[in-house]
Amino acid sequence: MDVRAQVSVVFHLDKCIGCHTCSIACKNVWTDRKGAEYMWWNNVETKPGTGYPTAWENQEDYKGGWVKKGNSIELKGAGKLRAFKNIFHNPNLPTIDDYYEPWTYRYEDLFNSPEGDTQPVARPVSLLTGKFMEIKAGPNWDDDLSGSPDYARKDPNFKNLSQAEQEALFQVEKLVMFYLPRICNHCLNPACLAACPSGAIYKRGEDGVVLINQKKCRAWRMCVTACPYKKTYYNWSTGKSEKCILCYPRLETGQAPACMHSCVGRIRYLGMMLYDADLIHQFASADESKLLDLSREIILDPRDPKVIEEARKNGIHDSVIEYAQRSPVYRFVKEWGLALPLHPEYRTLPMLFYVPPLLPIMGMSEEGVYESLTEGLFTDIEQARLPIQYLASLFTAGNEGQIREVLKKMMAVRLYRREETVGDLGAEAVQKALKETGTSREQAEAIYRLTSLANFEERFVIPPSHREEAIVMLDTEFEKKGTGGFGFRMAVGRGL
Amino acid sequence: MKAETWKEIKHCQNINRWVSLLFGAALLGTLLYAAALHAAFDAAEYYEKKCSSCHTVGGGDDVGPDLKGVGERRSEDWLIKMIQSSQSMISAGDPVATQLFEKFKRKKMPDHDLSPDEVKQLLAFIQQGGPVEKPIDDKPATAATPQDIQLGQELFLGSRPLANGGPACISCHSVGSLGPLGGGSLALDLTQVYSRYEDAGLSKALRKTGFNIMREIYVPRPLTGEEAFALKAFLFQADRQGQESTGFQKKFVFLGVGGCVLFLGLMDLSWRKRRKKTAKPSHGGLS
Ligand code: SF4
Ligand code: SF4
Repeated sequence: MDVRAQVSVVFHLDKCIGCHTCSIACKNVWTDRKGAEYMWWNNVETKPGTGYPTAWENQEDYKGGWVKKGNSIELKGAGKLRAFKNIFHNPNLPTIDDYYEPWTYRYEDLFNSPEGDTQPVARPVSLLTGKFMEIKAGPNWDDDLSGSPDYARKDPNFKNLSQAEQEALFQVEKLVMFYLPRICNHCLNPACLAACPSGAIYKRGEDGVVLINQKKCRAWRMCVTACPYKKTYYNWSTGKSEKCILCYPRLETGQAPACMHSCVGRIRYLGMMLYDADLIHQFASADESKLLDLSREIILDPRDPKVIEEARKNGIHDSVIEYAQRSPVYRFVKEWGLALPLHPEYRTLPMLFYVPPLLPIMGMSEEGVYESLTEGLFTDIEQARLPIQYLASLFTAGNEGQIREVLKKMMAVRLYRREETVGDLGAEAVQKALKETGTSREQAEAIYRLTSLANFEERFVIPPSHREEAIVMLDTEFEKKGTGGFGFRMAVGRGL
Repeated sequence: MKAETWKEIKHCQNINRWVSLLFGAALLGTLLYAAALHAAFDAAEYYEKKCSSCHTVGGGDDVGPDLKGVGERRSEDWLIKMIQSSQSMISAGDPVATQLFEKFKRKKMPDHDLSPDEVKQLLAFIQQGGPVEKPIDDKPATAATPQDIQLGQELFLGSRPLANGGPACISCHSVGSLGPLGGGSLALDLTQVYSRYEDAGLSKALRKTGFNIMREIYVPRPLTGEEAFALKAFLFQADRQGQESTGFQKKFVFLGVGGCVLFLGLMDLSWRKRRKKTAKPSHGGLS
């Protein structure tokens, strides 16, 4: 057993209101620099939809992630020999059009234009060329299902849905959508890291944050191809690749990452988890049907004395273990089994988990009249407007049973709370729902509290980062302390 | 401080002294050697190396003026300054220097790092009549054997290097009988050079390379008599065969374009599975 620590995250999709506050917070802190304008380390996409960059889930096109080969795995698009052959011409890169051409507006024209008969306008200006441009696409052009014939209907997750099922989704009465906020998953088996020919990408030992060393990066862009989530980006100005850093400077000072701190829907949870690094290769190479279970199994119980002992042996500080025991992520993922990884079939073992949206039907259309007074308040999840198959394609590598389990449990919690507050459902019905899903009343109460009432400290259980321990490995702590705060020690620049 | 440490330091200082003494001696030796080298000034050799490519003594004006009787024409003082740095004379406005500069097509005479004494030795050498011109007595090209012609071709192509390290003719010249690509296009095509210069003229041109760029290259690395003869023989042969290498430039362009198309085609083939278009519907993707 090789116990390591990982900061992991849960996004509760039922709570996301699609306000993009998270994206803006991140952009303002990290990517409003030259060459980074087009990057959205945090983005929120509408599902069904094609996301950002467009159709990133279509790995036949982008060649991201890992594929199983015998008892092992290999990178789909990069890999050792293939990367070497293509080192000067990476053939599967997204183009700027797959992202979008970033722009701003000539706001000064609003103030400086001479007086005339017409109102002045602020024309859009490309942030790449500096010239006037016509805006044809953006990072979330299909927000709230806009342009669905072009975008949402081309969602790669529809591949297992019949034509009729797809059509049904786009009838006005049945129109349905939810939001999927995405950041780098800080995977346990990062494809980006494996693909880098320069060895510039590393996973921090103390908390598992995946980072790109800006001094070592040589602009091969193999990581851009390899990450199946398309969460590494190439900065055309500095000539280096960049990605979400999970706001590690904030984490180190006990603050939640900017996107999580600002989240309006309070959908985000962050906490420490312990995992067994010895199992990564074996688990990542398992059969597709087992991937979801294994990506939960690799996470260890931080209360298990054996785990604690091994963790201590690996130099994990007692305080970190204690925080791992209080991690809200552990509860959602392991204890309750409510949170699922996005696309486990990419085999990167992502450490960002999603509680899938329940989206219950509250009304239905009968003879052209929209009726919300159905008999039971919540209909059966089988008739949920979003086909189970669609969610399964996103979160369980196609296994509908596992999605159903999660949704049933969430439904049970709702019924339980309805009974508590309104009391119109009958104790038996509630008891039956709870029993069916193996949920105790206490557990249902705990799920409800963490979902709906959790305050800042409960959502973000950020362990002390013990920078001093990391610093003494490379530097003297006194020198670090003495030189801290005197600006950059070196400028990041293009080339060597 | 402990006594032992102190002793150690003392010891180190002693070693240091020895080392610096040794270094000093070595430095002094080097300096003396350099001075000795400098002292052995050979006017004849210097003239041959630095002056002869532009001046003659009694052979008429070349790139620069004939130096015969220069000691009578100019004062010694003037000559010393002029030889040391002609350009500073000109910029100082010396009328004679300026006049000469204009007369000889504004060709700059390089500066010579010589002491006044050395200049005097050089002037004395010129006064005595300068270098002995060796008459060039090459056989005529008609006497060449096929082996000579073969050798000449090899020297021209550079498959056999020139004895004194000069670059092969093909670097700049072409000649009719070379393969499809011909030779260099920087200088004249030499197919008819034999007719133009005639036998003796060509010999002289090969041995005393008087042309601007060639002088720079071949004066320090002259052809040997044997090489000059072989080349002459080869050029004679080329002239007899008389086929000017025509269409060379066109061929080159054609080959360049063809090669480029072939190379791009190969690239296209090897990366045929690349992503060819964007997925963005606004740019024609996702259909
Ligand atoms: S999500 Fe992509 S960029 Fe982030 S660690 Fe995983 S493979 Fe790397
Ligand atoms: S800030 Fe929170 S609620 Fe708003 S879009 Fe981002 S994740 Fe969703």
